[in-house]
Amino acid sequence: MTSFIPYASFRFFVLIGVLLLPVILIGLRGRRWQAYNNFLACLMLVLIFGSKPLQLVSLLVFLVWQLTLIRGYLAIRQKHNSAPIFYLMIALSVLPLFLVKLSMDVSALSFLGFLGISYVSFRSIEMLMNIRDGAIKTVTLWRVFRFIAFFPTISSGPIDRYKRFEKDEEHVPSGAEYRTLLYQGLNKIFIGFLYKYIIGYLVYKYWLGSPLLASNSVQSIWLYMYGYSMYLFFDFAGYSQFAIGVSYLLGIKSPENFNLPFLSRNMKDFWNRWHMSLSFWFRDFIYMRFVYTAVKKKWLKDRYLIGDIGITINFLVMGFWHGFLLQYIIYGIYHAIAFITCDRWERFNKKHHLIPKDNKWVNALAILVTFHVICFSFLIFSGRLNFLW
Amino acid sequence: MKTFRFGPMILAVLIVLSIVLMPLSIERALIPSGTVKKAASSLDPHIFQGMLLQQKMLEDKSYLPIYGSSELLRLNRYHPTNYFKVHPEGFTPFLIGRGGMYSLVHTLNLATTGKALNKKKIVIILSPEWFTKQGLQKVHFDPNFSKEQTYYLMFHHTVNPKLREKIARRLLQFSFIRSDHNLATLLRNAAYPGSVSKPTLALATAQGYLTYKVLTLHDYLSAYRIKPGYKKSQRQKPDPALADKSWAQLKADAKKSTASATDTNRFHILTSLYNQHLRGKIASFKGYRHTESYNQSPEYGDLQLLLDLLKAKHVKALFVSVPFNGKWYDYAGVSKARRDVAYRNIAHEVKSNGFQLADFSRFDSKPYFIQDTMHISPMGWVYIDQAIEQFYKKN
Amino acid sequence: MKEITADFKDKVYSILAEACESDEVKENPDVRIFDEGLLDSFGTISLVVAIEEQLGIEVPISEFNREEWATPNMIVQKLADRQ
Repeated sequence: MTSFIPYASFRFFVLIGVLLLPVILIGLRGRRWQAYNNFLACLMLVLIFGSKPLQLVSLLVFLVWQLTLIRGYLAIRQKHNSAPIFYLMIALSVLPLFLVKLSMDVSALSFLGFLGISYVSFRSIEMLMNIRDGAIKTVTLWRVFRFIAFFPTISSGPIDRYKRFEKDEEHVPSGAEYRTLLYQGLNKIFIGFLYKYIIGYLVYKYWLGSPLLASNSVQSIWLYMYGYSMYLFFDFAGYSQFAIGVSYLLGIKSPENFNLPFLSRNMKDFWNRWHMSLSFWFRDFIYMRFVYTAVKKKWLKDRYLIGDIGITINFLVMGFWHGFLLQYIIYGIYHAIAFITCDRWERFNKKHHLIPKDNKWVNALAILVTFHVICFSFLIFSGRLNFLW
Repeated sequence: MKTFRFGPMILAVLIVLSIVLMPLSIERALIPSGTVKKAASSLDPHIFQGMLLQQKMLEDKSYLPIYGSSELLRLNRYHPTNYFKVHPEGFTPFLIGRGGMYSLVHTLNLATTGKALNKKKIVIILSPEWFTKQGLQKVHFDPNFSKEQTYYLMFHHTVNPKLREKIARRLLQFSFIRSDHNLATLLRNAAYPGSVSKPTLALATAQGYLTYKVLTLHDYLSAYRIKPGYKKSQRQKPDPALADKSWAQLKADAKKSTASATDTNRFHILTSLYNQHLRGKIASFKGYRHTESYNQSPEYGDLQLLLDLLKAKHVKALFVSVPFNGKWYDYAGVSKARRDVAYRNIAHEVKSNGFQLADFSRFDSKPYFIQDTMHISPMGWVYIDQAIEQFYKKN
Repeated sequence: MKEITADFKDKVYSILAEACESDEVKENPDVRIFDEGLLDSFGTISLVVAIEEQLGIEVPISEFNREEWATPNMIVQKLADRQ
């Protein structure tokens, strides 16, 4: 069977073009045909994963597992709110992802993985957290399925939130609203082509592929750093535009993932602009949860220290999530240090007013410095420096 | 009220489609003049994988294509490319070949040249070591197989149906081709007409056609970046001193230079090569090919496909039958009697189909025609140059 | 919906000013505190904990999203709804 990896081939675009045609025509009349959408959700999973039957089986088992956890926890939560059960549920939900990440080094487990397991896990964990907080009180299985296995974003995000998704699903756009969605969606898809298949491709082929960058001299690594950063952005931002664009065609406004990240003024700003849906997920469900618990239970007196520990945990987990490889762990630690330094400096400056905030030149310098701090982190991430350790 | 600009998006789609779906004839015409000249001795594999440059070359009467394999990369001063540069006879050799390009690969090359092939003069160099019991194997065919050419064969009916059927059947014997779903479906339909259902065929045709057009676009673009397919050390410059020498003199000179480069070992294999790869472990090569025989080989069938194609197109072809390195093959365990079977079969097949053969199998047990275990030496090239010249003048 | 008293409003504003480490929130109750960089995730935690301790209103942090809790006025309104 031919494989249809999302947005990876011309064939995929033709396929979704054809399959989305009924959705678009019905959408323009201000309607939604839910049965077709359900059919499409299933069909796309089969087409995306069908070329590797083992992957498809893994995916189905995994989805049943997550749906059972969500449904089961909701039933338990309605009776009593117990912390141990909640933590157990989270652990069970993370378990498959953990095994798969581990399996990259343990070949005996390598049959487990499938494309996009992280992103499906993120959505599922988010639901469990919200159930614990009482923010989600009822669910229907079909909707949870459509949410966690939403095909436009299944392979690499953006990571949507259940309540937001639910709101979009419950509101059937009028014909005029759908026209706007269609226009925005198509526009995004075209920007995706520009980013991923024109700019990203050219940077990859002619910049990163240049023989000038092959040696381990400082200059060539330096040039590689810029090239790789540009490639990473245009490739992933392009992909995100495709995913968001296709979501729009289905009437779902998946959240944005990038907002001019290379114009960030500091590291905090950067994480509000780069891979936003992931960084917000980590912020909300790792950093904030930890800091909230630690502050409330008064684990430490110094709240700022709690904040710094929270940031370190946050970025370390993010590092490990990328893979159990040294380059990713160093990348995580590097970002933790950069973030904490930035935070401390900001607080210090707020008190002592050393540097004015709204000065054009200060801003330009801040952007330039931040840009280099970011690019260097991507250089670590790329593995290009692996010869050093 | 918001204004929607769907126009630019539709225009973008149309522009992309018109570039991808551009007819072959336009792509061919767009290739800048001078490219064929540059390509003639480049041996860039993109040329053999593609079709446009080969078609364009055949339209030009000044080129004499030489189809062969790895021996073409030995571009010493006696190689046809160099020799006919200093000693012009009214044609420029256009080289098509690299390691592993057996008869079937050339059948595809030639089957996709359109009408330009009609009544052309061409030269084909056959290597006897192709004609083993297994014949063409995946290791050699996969890197030389051209999807673009095969799609062309499926979409253009420039080859007669019976032959097309035979070629398709042969191609389907290779599992790596069968695993390409769309191409295999089209081949199956060509090999066994009516065996593929209409909807399946329609889908494979649509998808295959898009793939095919993307490949031809690549083919067109690769004409702008032709790179040498040989190593620098393999190429010598043309030597003007050769221009006025007689054949006898050339043969004597080339023999002398071959001898000085190969006389350090009893097999007359290039000294550098022999010392580096063979000398230390020569015992391990004793009899290492003793099971090899040439009386039955799929390669004879593949050669027949090629001959059928050339006959149908009224091509004037000169086949060159190259000898084994007899001394080496004796040592490797393949007797002269067995080698003679290959020579006899090849000669019989070529001649009985009415084609001319320059048969150099008489050099089997004499030194210097071959400079290692299988590649033509400077002296060998002189004999072939002479045969080419005679062939070109006579026809 | 409960009526919002001036006292309640003042209380929220001063908690907010403390969390933001700035009095700007008192002067401009419609300032977008996240967009202006007055409050970040860390400040949010301080705010949520302080609200819980001083006003006795529990706000799960997953409920505290930056679009609906964007300005001092919106926060007052949200808290009043939860009282």
